[in-house]
Amino acid sequence: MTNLLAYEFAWGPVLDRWDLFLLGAWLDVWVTAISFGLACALGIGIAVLRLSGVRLLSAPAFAYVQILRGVPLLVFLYWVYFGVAIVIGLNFSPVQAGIVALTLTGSAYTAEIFRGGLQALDAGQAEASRSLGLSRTGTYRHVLLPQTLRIVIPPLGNVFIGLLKGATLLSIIAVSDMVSVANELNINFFTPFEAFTAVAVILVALVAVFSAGVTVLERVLRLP
Amino acid sequence: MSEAAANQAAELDLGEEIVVAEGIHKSFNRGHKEREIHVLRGVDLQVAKGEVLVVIGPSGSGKSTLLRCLNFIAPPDAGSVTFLGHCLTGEVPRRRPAERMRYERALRFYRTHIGMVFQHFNLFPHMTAADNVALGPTRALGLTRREAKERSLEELERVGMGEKAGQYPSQLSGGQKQRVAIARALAMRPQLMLFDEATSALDPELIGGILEEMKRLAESGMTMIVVTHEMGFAREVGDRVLFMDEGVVVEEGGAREVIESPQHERTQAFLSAILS
Repeated sequence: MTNLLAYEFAWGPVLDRWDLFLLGAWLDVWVTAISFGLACALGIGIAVLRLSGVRLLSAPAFAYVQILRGVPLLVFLYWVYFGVAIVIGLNFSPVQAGIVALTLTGSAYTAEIFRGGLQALDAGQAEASRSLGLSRTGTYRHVLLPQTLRIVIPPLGNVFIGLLKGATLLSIIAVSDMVSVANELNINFFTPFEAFTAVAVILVALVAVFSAGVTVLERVLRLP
Repeated sequence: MSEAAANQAAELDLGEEIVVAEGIHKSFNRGHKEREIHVLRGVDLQVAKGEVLVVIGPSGSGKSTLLRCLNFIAPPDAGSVTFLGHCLTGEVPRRRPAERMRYERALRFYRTHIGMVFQHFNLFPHMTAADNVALGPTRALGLTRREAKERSLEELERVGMGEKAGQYPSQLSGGQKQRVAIARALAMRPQLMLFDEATSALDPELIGGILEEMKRLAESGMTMIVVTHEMGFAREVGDRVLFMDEGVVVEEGGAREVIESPQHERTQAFLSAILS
């Protein structure tokens, strides 16, 4: 027999530090939000390059996506935080390094999503816009991207959730987020189950709130 | 060329050529041996001011591609298009930035002065009818939002869509969509209108209304190139007819003559098939 049922849960330390957990969670949320915004901007640019039809632009964009999609976030964190400092002497703060790493990882995914969204549009949309004399940029800005945005909201929501969960790795480069709180708790009280369950509960709650937000956004942007 | 200069050019004598295309060649999938399709094989055409040229022919004969070559939505591989005194080939000057800019400006001139109406309307689904019509005038002609809005409502009114100005394309019937698309093209005050099978995607009972609209436009003196399968319209409204097959112009002449007594046997075969 194991002593599974004999274990006495000790939620006290977790509950005593609920404010620290929430503070850490808040850091994860805003770091993710900034990274996500930057990843979207970068992703649109890369998607447009990939669809440019100019080999010199589309090939590097393709390579960018292929490589960045393959490199794990963990590696990016070490590269950006430790590697960059050693190689070129540029020192990022832990949070800055985290944002750069999350942005790079996220941009590979958003680039693919925007590419798919742009390709899903009827070719006649661009033709009609160009035939009205709009420039390439104007066509993207006023005709193609507003339509793409409506298509890509659900998959982009998944990327956001992925990045939010990825942000839990940031504690390994000494970002004091909610995982670092759980870590410390675990070291002091040896309650790994309780400490990390707290992290899980907070993330599940955040994802639920975020999903609801996405649903509202979809409804607001839905065309008649 | 400025807009004023363009208008001046357009006010030249009747009979002045508005557009001349010479030796147009176009292939799709160029450079891919097996998949390459030579759609246009040396097409010439010219249209005078106020003239209505109807282009007929079996599907796949290159009619739509020809229209797309005229405003460089599909730039021709060879040949040139002269439009209101400008002359462009499909060859983009990539090396010299100054020439490149001149080329882009000319392209813009062509597109802002050539209106195009598509088979599948191609309205922008995320904009109301009024915004669809106002987009070109604001973004390509530089009108203020208010001027563009005014012009948009005016053009929608003209095609009987004034009451639908606030509706989205998905809320309109096919015929209404095509009216909005016509208004969108006319709001640019074009010197030439291209109609690419504008009635082919419409329910039969809606075709008449759109043809009526096109006829009215022709009567108002608009220069038009119309790709259509509506032979009644071609005979009645068209000044000249161009019959195309397999990427070349097979027969060309007065609308009535070509449709009623075609000379070439391929034209005869096509017309008897379509009219029976």
